[in-house]
Amino acid sequence: MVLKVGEVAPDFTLPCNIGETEGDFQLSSYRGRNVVLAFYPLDFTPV
Amino acid sequence: MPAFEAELAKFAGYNAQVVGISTDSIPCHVAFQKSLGGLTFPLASDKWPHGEVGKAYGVFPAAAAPHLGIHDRAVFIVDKDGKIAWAKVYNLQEQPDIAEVLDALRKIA
Repeated sequence: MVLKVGEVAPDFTLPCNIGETEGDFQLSSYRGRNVVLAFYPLDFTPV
Repeated sequence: MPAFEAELAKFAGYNAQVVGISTDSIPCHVAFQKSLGGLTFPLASDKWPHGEVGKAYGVFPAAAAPHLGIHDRAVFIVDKDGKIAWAKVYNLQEQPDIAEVLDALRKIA
């Protein structure tokens, strides 16, 4: 089931990168800001 | 992802961090970003355990092609309190309407 509006967003930490700078993306570290999670099927597909 | 990049200043104006998430590896993300001329927001790798975060959000495996082991195309806005404030699942080939996402942010910001 796709999560619905009003539900708590499950926290997660994933490896991430901006260019060649690598790090971790932890959702809960952005508390106090809005976060736009853009799930997409595959790199090199248009988004 | 270029569509998000083009409007990133507007997302920042709504105090919003954008992150792209797929099951690709980090080296693949690096190459993808390079092919786009660079992105200034992060791409996260939900590669292992495969699709675990996508599963938690209900967008893995993609409903239309579960055998491919990929995420659905979907956008969630998580608000300042860590709750889902807006969500939309797209067809795999469909581009998210960035203006619609920004409008949703404007309403909750």
